[in-house]
Amino acid sequence: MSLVTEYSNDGKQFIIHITGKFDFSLVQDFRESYDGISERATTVVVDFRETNYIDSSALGMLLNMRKSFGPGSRSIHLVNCRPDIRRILDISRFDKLFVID
Amino acid sequence: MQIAIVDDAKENRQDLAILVEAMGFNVVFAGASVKALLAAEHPTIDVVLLNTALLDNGSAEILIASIKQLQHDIYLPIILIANDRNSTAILKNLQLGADDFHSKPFDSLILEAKLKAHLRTRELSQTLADRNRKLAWHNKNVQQEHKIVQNIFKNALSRNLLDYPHIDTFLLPHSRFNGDLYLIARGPIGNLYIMLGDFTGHGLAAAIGTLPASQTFFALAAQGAPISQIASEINRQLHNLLPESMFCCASFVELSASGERVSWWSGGMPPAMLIEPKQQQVRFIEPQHMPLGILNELEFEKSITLLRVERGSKLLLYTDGAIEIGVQNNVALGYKGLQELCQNANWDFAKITQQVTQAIGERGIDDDLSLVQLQCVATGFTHDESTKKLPQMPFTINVKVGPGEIRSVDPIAHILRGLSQMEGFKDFKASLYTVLSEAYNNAVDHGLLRMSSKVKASADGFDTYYQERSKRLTRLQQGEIEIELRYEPSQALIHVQVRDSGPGFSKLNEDHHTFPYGRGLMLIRELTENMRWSDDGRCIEFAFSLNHRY
Repeated sequence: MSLVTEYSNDGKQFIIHITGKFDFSLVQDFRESYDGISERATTVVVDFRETNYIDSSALGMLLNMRKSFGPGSRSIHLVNCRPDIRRILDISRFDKLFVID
Repeated sequence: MQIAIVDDAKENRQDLAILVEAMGFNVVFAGASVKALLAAEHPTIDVVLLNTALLDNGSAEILIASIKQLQHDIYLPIILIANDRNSTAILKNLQLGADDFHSKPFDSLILEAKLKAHLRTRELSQTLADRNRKLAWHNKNVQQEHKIVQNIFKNALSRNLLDYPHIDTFLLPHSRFNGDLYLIARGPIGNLYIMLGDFTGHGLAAAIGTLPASQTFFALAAQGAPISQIASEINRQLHNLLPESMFCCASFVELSASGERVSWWSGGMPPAMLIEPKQQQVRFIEPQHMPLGILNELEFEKSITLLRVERGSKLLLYTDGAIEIGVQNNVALGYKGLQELCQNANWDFAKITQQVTQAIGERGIDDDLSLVQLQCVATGFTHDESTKKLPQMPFTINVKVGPGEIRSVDPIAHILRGLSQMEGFKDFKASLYTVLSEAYNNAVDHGLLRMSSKVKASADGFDTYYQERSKRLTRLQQGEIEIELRYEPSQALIHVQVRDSGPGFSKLNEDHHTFPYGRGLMLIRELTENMRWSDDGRCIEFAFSLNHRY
């Protein structure tokens, strides 16, 4: 499993790719990945296309990220979710807090 | 040189034969009539000496033509031998196709010079005929090779998703082989991939890069790779394969399943046009990078542009052939020209192609041209429904792990790896992983390590929690966790039990009360059936259904 980040061409979007398992083994890497995020990046995109599994700690990490940005400062998009991952996000009512696509 | 002599007078034939043989030539035929010459089986003839009197019977034209036919396409000189200088008859026969004349009395030096001059012409004609034959053979060969290569190109592009309903294309190669490349494929998560490329130049040399690029594109699209990865992989290949002077301008587009998100990588292509659905306002999306095949792996820039687009927007991609319509006649269409043309066509693709065709007719074209218009709507790709049957045989998997294994291995990953080998199970892998790992982690954290989830609520709670967990796990001396999966084919259910050797609910820390309401347990409850606790809270049981997929 691994975590890779990049900025979009205009610098306004910060993209996090998670490959393999998204679980508590990524707690530290995930938090550090957005520690020094640029002020210009107003949108954070978590790309799940290569994520095979997630568990409740992944949900916790996403909520923590949201909390650390402060209310209304950045929108977080959870994109390219496979149906089984999408279902887990739906069960947890994440659509109220994140933009899910 | 091989000479044929045609004269009805035997003496004349003999005189002429002696004369030309003295010059070192061979007489291979000596006969009384053209008919005899045509009927004779003889080796190659280089020159025909023909008494012009034999042509007096009114069929001169036919006779001359038949003699010429003896050598097919190669020049066969006919030299008329005249008994006197009857210039009218000679002139008439020269006009009908004879090549020269010689009249009596013979001046042998002049005759020899004439014969040699005609021979030189004949040799030139022979060389030309040889070359033509070779050229024809070569041409046929090239045709055949082109046919094979065309077939290879056709096969290379056979995976193109040509029946996708929300895209329109107008592809106009400048020659038989297209140096423009249009690829389209569906990804595994309902997404759509498009590549529009333009190799330097046109024709076969330009098209050749199509082969590796298309195979990489289709393979990575099938895996659902991000376009930055597809672009960088094709760049690497082309950088290794193509000569310095050749490269590929390209745009990659990924449209999300919802049709509302566009990811975009572009190098060296003219700016694409994004047309907003209501007011039809046009936004140009500029390329950000160098074309493919120029930069090495380390220098390559893979950053993409992400756009959220209004549903129903149109995205128009095109190669520079479209804006360079007429460039060779100094009447290039240009971006603005193309934009105006499309606006006049009301962005209706049929009308656009009609007007582009008209512009080509008026201004001329000197390159491959491609226009691709994508409608940004939900792709409508459904996930492949598995038709695989589940195994008919019941089985039970029982795994027991102690402190050593808990520290070093992920038993759930191992179990899943084994299960996914079985027919029909692969589709449930992700959900099954989630519920099993929730149950297992709960058993480890709360059953054996006696962790309290309360910590997670504080600011650095997550980190603190997992640091503490790691500490306790290192110190863990005893205890075990037993995982049992019992598959019931008749119910299509996997009955799961995860049991820890901890104190259970009976000696609860208070966290055990709140713990069932944690997010992990909620996931298990939602994704499975009949979840319950047994053995005083040491064991969680549930049934995972294989009847429907999520």
